[in-house]
This record gives sequence, C-alpha cells and structure tokens, in this order.
Amino acid sequence: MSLVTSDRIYRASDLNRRGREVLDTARTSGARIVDTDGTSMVMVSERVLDRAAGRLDVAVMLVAAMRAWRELEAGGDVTVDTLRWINRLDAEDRATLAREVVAAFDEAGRTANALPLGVLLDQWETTASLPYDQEYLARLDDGFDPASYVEAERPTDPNT
Amino acid sequence: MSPPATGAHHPWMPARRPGCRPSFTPHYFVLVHHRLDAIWGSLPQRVGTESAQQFWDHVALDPGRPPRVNPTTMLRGKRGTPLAPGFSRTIHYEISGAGRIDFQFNPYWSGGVSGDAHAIVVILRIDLGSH
Repeated sequence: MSLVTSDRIYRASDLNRRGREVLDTARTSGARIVDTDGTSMVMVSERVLDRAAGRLDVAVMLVAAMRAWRELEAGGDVTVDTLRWINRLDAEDRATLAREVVAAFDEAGRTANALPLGVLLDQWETTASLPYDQEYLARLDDGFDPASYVEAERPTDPNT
Repeated sequence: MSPPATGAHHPWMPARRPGCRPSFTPHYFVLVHHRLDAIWGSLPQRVGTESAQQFWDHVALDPGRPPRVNPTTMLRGKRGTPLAPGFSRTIHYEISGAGRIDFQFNPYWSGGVSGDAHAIVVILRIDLGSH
C-alpha cells in the first residue's frame, strides 16, 4: 500500500520554487520528492500517516494473534514474543481465550474493525498478570451471599 | 435499605464510624467481603485518603464506566466470572502504583429481605502489594 496516489514526482528545488503546490499535493494525494542524491521522500498529512500506522499496528496484532491461536490449538506454548503472557494462563483459561479470540476474529471480519480484538487481548494480558488467588477464586465460586459482606464506608482521612 | 438477615459479623452494617459524606448522592451501595474489612479500613493509610475516596466515589456513582483518574480492566476467564446472574465480570481497578482492587457490580440486585432491587458493588479482592 502506498501513501502516495499522485504520479507527480517533485525535485528538492521544487520545495523553494513551488512550495505551495507541493504542500497542496501532499495534502490531497501525498507528494513524492526526490532529493539531490536520489533519495525518494514522501510528504503526507499527519492524519494520513497516523491512519497508516494504525492499520499497520492492527495488521501486526492480527498476524500475531492468529499465530498464537494456532499454537494454542496445537496444545503448545505461545512463542510470539508479544503474546508470551498467554503461557501464564492455565489450560481452562487458555481454552476460553482461544474461543474468545476466534469470536473476535469473526467480529473483526464482519465489522472491519479489529479494535474489540485489541481490547480483548489487553484484558487477557492484565488477567494473566494476576496470580490464581485461591481465596479469591473460592469467593467467586461461592456466589453472592449477603451475609458475607459488610458495608464499605467512604474512607476518611486518618489524621482528622 | 433493609439489611438482610444478620450473621456473626453483622452483615451490611457499617464496619466503622461513618465517613465524611461525598458531594453526590451515591447510586450504589458499596459492600466489602468481611474478610477484607481490616485491609479496607487501612486503605487511606496505605494508598492515601484522596485515592481511597476516588475509588469509593467511582464505584458508588458509576462503576461500569471508566473512572476519571485510575485505569480499570475487565478481567477475563475464571478470574472474571460473575458471582451470580446479574453481576458484572470482575473489574480490576489500579488504585496506586502497586495497589489493585477487584470488584463486581449489580445494578438490580433483588435478593434482599424486601425483594426490591438495589444497586450494589461488591469488593472481592484488595491487593496493596505488587503482583
């Protein structure tokens, strides 16, 4: 994918002589400028650059998530550097993660929006950073029993 | 709100003297598991009064929205399992550099003696060390 859709190629000297035209071309379709040593440069608006960088981030995330999912499906550890935290999850949570990632892939395909997949992976990464606190897990298993809870008053300054 | 049947630790009764009142009307009744009562009481000393009150104000007003100050994350998998139907998944609130509070909320809990619905927040885990 190119950020420049114009066929026009400017020279370095055009920046002085026709600066306004170069800027307008950069704004509308991206401008390609060849420096005096032959290096090809591209000038685009910051908005276009941010969107391109965002798409690249999403593409990298999708490829990494797909590879990790295949490794999980095969029953092995995840070797993708950015997703190694998955290995801290137990088998049950890994299976849940794999199911949710597949659902998020489907959603991303339907909506052309991979943001929910990114949010899901962020939530799982935070979850994986936590210990499997057995007392807390037992509390969840017990369900909600009002008799086990007391009112938590708004904290006060201990010095007053 | 009518408290439910009492147990040995007087459930739902204030664990200590009433705190200063917030500048808003709380929408949620904030509860803490009785085994976390002591650490809840030490929260101002451990993380600072302002941070402790920001947390309480957040969950008492609108626990389902991202807070204004500190980051939150919804937990996945078994550590995010709702306590019962109607409860949210566990929300992980970063109250300080190393301090975390995990809670769930239910906007329409109706298990009280009177059977009418109440909005409640339940604090399930407080970790003020590093993990």
